[in-house]
Amino acid sequence: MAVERVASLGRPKLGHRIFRALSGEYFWFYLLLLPSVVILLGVVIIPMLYALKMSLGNTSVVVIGGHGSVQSTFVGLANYVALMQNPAFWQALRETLYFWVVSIGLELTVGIGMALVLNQKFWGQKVVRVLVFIPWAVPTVVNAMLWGMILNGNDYGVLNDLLLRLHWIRTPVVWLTPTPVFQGVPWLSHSLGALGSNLAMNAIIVGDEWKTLPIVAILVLAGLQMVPAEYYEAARVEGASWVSQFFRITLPLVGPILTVVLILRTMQLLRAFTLVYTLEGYGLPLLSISAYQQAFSFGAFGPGSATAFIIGMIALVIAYFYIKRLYREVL
Amino acid sequence: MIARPRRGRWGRLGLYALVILMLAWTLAPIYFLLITSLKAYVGTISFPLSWLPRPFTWHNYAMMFSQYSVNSVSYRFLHALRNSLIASTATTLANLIFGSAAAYVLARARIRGKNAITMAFLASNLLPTVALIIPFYVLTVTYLSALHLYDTNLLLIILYTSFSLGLVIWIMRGYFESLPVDLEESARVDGATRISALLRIIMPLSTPGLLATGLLTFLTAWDNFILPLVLGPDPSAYNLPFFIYSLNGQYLHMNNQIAAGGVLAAVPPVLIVVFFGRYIVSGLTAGGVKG
Repeated sequence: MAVERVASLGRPKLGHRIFRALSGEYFWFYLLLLPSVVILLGVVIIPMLYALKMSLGNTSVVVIGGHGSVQSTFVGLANYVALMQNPAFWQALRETLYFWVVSIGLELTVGIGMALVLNQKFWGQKVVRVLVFIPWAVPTVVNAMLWGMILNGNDYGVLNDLLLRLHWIRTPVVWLTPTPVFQGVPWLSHSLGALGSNLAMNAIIVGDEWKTLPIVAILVLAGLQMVPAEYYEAARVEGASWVSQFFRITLPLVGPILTVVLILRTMQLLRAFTLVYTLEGYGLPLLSISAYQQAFSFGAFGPGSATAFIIGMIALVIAYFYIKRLYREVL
Repeated sequence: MIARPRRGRWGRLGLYALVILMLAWTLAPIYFLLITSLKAYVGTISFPLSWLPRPFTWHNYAMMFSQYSVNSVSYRFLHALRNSLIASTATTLANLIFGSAAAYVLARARIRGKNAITMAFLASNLLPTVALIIPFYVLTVTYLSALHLYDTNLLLIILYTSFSLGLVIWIMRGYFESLPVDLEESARVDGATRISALLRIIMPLSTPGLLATGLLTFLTAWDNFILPLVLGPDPSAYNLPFFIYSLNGQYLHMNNQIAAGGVLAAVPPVLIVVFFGRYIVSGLTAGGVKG
């Protein structure tokens, strides 16, 4: 090992370095790495660059008999400028961020709360832990259809049925329509509306959380079980309160798990297309829905690609911060 | 396990109340899905809604398997089931083979910038599908149209594979790094090549990681909807999620049929989570914490 390190200090000529790279065990290393690099290039990087190219042009696609041709005249940043001037784009951005922030907020509070409950001793604990995990396994489309039935705006929608029987409401509520919330309090209603909140959005977040809270709770629970019990005993001997035990011991030690959870959830949330598209069609224009609609409904591949590229860049910025935090913890 | 002083009666009562609340939130929608799948259509659109499967019928399930003819419900269901099984399994195998090979190299080889390469893979998985679907579509129907990939399962497999590869590499790299290098070196002193040391010593020790990442990949591929929506509109290329979406008619919402299809599509992933959930969790936490 030491010999190799000394040799590399001498900086051999490029030809030698390529020869050394392709001979011996490094040949096998590069061979093992090759398929994944090809997949990364072919299915992620090249398509992203192609999306960038389409977004910089006035792009149209004509498909006849399974064979298509693409025409693109370069217009520079015109598509991006048009998006920035379009209030619908900013509304879509706000709604996407609202969806993300509220979901993550719920997961960090209710999700951790569920984990703390599951970490207690109670009768049937093992069975409950398995049962609580099940919604995570339900496919997203099934979850969407299920919550479509629950939130149905007729009196036979499950939630309406329940609330009507309890006499909490007199007429069925149309849950999946983007009406403002808290209409009785105008300033609150307006400011929440400006942040991207509406009834349909909140209803969909609830449906989404039904599927995703379990994975958060179960992963945090796994983290809680790794915290040695002696820490808590020592803290109690010192007279630390329950709250300070939580913030001083539990949270810091569960931190790395929370990073994993946040990464997984951000991956899924920025992909949050299926649930909204299935339940609302184009009625609730998140950025992802709007990109899809522009390209495949209007045939406007330029603006559609521009929106898609912006989504990709937002995702990469978030990815950068997560990964940086992850590596700080690892190294 | 947190050891706390013994709770009083009210504490225990509060704990059980929270547990029951959690179970109700979890199980009520599942119960509703099950009873809806066993109702005749009229039972799903009348108020007050029956909280038992009335009028009872097995028909919603039976129609998925009988009266097979081109484009009938059973034709679409069985094709979708076959496509989902093939695509998810193939994706899982491809991911495990390519992903763990790359992860091994990134854990052991002294290549400059291997952290950066790992990060690039992980970042590629954070890209939303919807950002990639437009170029996928355009490239498939124009430059690559001679390959006739549109409306095929093969295209979906190729694209799915990229979706969890970064996660597989990240988790498996953590696993490999947690195994002591001495293990391999002693095998190699005994005359084993690096590849056989990898296959005979490292891989068996990494089985929990492989199981976790494999199942995670399978679940992700099983769940996919947007790819078939754009790239597989022919009934012979449906997967299960898209089949269930297609049951949602333009004028009629046959909730009972949708529920039956939904239950059938949810069975494999739910079984995976019930029996192998522990492995998925330990794989995610071990990979995440150590690597």
